[in-house]
Amino acid sequence: MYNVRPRITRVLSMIMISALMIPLVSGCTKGETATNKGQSTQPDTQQEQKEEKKDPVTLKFPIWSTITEDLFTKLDLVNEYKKEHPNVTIELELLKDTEYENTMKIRNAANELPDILPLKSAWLINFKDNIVPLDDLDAAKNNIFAADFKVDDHIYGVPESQFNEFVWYHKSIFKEYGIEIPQTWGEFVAAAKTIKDGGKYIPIAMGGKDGWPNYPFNEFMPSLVANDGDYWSTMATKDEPFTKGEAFYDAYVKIQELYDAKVMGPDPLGVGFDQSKLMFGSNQAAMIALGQWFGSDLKSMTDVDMNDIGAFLLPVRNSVDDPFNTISMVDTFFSIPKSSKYPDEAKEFINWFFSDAWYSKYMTEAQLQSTMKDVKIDLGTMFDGAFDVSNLNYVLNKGGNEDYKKIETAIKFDVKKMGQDMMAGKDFNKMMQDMNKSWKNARSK
Amino acid sequence: MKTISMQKNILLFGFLLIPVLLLLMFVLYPLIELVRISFTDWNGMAAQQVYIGFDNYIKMFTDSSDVWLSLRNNGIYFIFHLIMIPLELAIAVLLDSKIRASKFFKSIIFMPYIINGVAISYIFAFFYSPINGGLNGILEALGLESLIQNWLTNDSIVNISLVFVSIWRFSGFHVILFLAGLQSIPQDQFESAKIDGANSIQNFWYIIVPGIKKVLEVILFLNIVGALQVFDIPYIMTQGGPGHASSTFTLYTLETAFKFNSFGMASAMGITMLILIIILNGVQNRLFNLKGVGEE
Repeated sequence: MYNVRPRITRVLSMIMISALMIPLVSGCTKGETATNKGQSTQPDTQQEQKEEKKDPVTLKFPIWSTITEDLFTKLDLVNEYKKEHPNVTIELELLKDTEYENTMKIRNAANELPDILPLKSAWLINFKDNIVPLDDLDAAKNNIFAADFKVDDHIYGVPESQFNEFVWYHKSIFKEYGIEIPQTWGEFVAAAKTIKDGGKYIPIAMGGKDGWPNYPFNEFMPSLVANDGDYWSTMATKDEPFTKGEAFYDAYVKIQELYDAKVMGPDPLGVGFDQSKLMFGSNQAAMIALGQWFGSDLKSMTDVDMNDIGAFLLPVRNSVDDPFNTISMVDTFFSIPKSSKYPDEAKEFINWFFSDAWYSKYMTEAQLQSTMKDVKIDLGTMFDGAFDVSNLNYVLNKGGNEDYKKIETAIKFDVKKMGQDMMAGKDFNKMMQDMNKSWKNARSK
Repeated sequence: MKTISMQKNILLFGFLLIPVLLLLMFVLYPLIELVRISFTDWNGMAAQQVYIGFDNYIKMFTDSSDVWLSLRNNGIYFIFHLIMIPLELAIAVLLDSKIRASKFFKSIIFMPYIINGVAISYIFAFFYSPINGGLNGILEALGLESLIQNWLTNDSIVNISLVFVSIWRFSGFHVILFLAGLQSIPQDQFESAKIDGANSIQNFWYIIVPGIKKVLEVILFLNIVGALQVFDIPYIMTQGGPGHASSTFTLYTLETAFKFNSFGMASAMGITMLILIIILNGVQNRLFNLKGVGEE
C-alpha cells in the first residue's frame, strides 16, 4: 500500500509530460521547416518518397481573382496540363484579391512562397530579390511586353494579359438623352452633367468607399496627360511635381472638376465597389469607369442586358486634334520564386501556359488581349467601335522605378486616398502644396 | 525518500519547462524581434536589414501628420467610452435591483458583445449607408430629413458614427462586469447600512463604489487598450477613410507595414503603442487612486 501512490504519481507524471512534449516537439519541427529554407528532414523525406514513385511533382499556383478561378475550372487547367505532364499536379489556391499581396509578403518571410507566383507589375521590384530571372525562357522571349518591365536589366515576370481601361455605359440611357460618345474630357464631363440634370439616373457609379475604384482617374490620368506610361519614375526626378503646368497637377485639376460636378450620386464615398457595380448593373447608374476585366463581371451578373452595354475609352484630351492617349495595362506577371523546389517544372509550366494550344483558348474565354507575339484574340462585339477614335495612342502603364518607390514609402504617397480626399471636398490647393513640400523633402533625403 | 523528492523535482521541472518554453518562443522571442526590427529599415522582403537607430521613432512623430490624426481618433474612442462608464454603472445598478424581467434585459444588453465584430461592422455599414440605409430611412420616416447626413463620409462626424458602433458593442460587456462586481458585495453591508439609516446615495457612494473598484480598474484598463487598439470597426466600415479621417493607430500601423512596405517603422509603431498603453494605464490608476477593498 505504501508504495502504490508514488508509483501512480510517477506513471501519471510520465504520461502527462509525454503528452505535453508531443505538440512541443512537433511544433519545433514545423518552425524549422519555415526557417531553414526547406532543408529540414521533413521535405527531404517527402522528396525521396516522391522520387521512388516516378517523380510526382506538385506545383503550387495561387491566383487572386474568382474570374480566373472560374475560367481555370471551366477549361480544366489542371487536367489539361496533366495530359502532357502526367507527373505534375497543379495545385490552385484562390486568395482574396485585397489580401493577395500581404499573404505573399508573409509567406515570403516564412520562406513559403509558391512555385509559380503571379505578380502585378508594380510588385516586381519588391519581390526581385526573391524570384529568379526568366530571360532565357521561351515564353519571355516571345512576349511583347516582358522586356518592357525589366528590373535591373532582367526579365523577372512574363505578363499574361494586356487590357485597356474603359468607361462602360448603358446605350439606352445615352440614347434617351441624345448623348454621343464623348471624344474629349470636356464632352465627357458635359455628358455626365446632362444625365445628372435629367434627374433619373446617377451619371457615374463610383465605389469611392473602397478607394481603389477611383484608379481610372486618380492613378492613370497623370500618365495620360503626360503621355508617359512611366510617369511615376519621371515624377521621382522632379522636386515639385504638384505644381501648375506639371502633368500631375493638370490631370488632378480635371479630376477635381469631375468630382465637383457631383455626378457620382449623393455620396460616392459611402458606396463600395460591389454596391456601385450593382447600381450600374441595375440601370441606376449610366456609366462606370473600369478596366476591360469588368466585362466578365458584367456577364456573370444576372439581369444585365449585355446588348445594352457599351464601352468607350476614357477621353482625357482637351480637343479632338490632340492625340487620344489611352492606358494599356499589362497584368499578371508569372514569376518563379527562388525558394521553389521545382524551378524547372515551373518553367516548363509557364512555357506550356503561353503555348498556342492553351493560351489562345484561355485568353479568348477571358476576353483579354494577348501579350504573345503570334497570338491574336477575338474580343467579340462588346468593344465594337470603342477603338474607333482619331489619333489613338497607347500609353503602357508601369509601376514606377526604385527611386519612386522610395519616395512613395517615405511620404506614404497614395493617389487613391487623395482621390477620396478630393471627393470629400478637401482644399485642393492646400493638398497640392503639402504634397509638394513632403515630396521635395523625401527627395532630398 | 530521495527518489520521492527527485520525482517531485522532475515533475515540477517537467510541468514548468513546457509553459516556460512556449512563453519564451511565442511571446518573448517575437517581442524581442519586434524591438529589434523597429531599429531597422527592413521593408519586409529584402534579405538585408540596416540598423538606423531611433530614426523610425523620430520620424514617426515628426514627419507624419497622419500619426497624430490617428492618435486623435483613438482619443475620441477613449473619451466617449470614458463618458459612458458612469452610465454603464447606472444600468448595472438598475439591473441588479429587483426589476421585472431583469434577466431578459441582461441578455439583451450582453448580446452585442457576443456577436462577431466583423458582422457588426457590416450591419452598421449598411445602417449608415447613403443609399437605402437604415438610419437615413428612419429619419425620413420621422420627417427629420434635415438631419440626414453622410454618416461615414463626412469628415467631421465619421468618427462619432464609428464610436457609436464601438459603444453599442462594448457597453453591454462593461455592464455585465459591473454587475458581477455588484453581486460580489456582501449583502450584510447593505443590511447594516440600512440599520444605520443610510440613504441610497450613501449606499452607492460608500458601499457600491468601493466594492467595485477592482472591476472599475479592469474596465478602465480595457478602455485604454480597446481605444488604442480599435481596428475592426474602422477597417471594415471606412478603411480609415475618407482619406485618413477615421484612421486609427492600428490601422495606420497596418498600412505602414503592408501597403508601404515599412516593416521597421510599423514595428516602431507597435512598440510605441505598447509604451503608450503602459503610460496611460499608470497615469489613469494614479489619477483615480484605485485601490480595492482591503488594499491599503
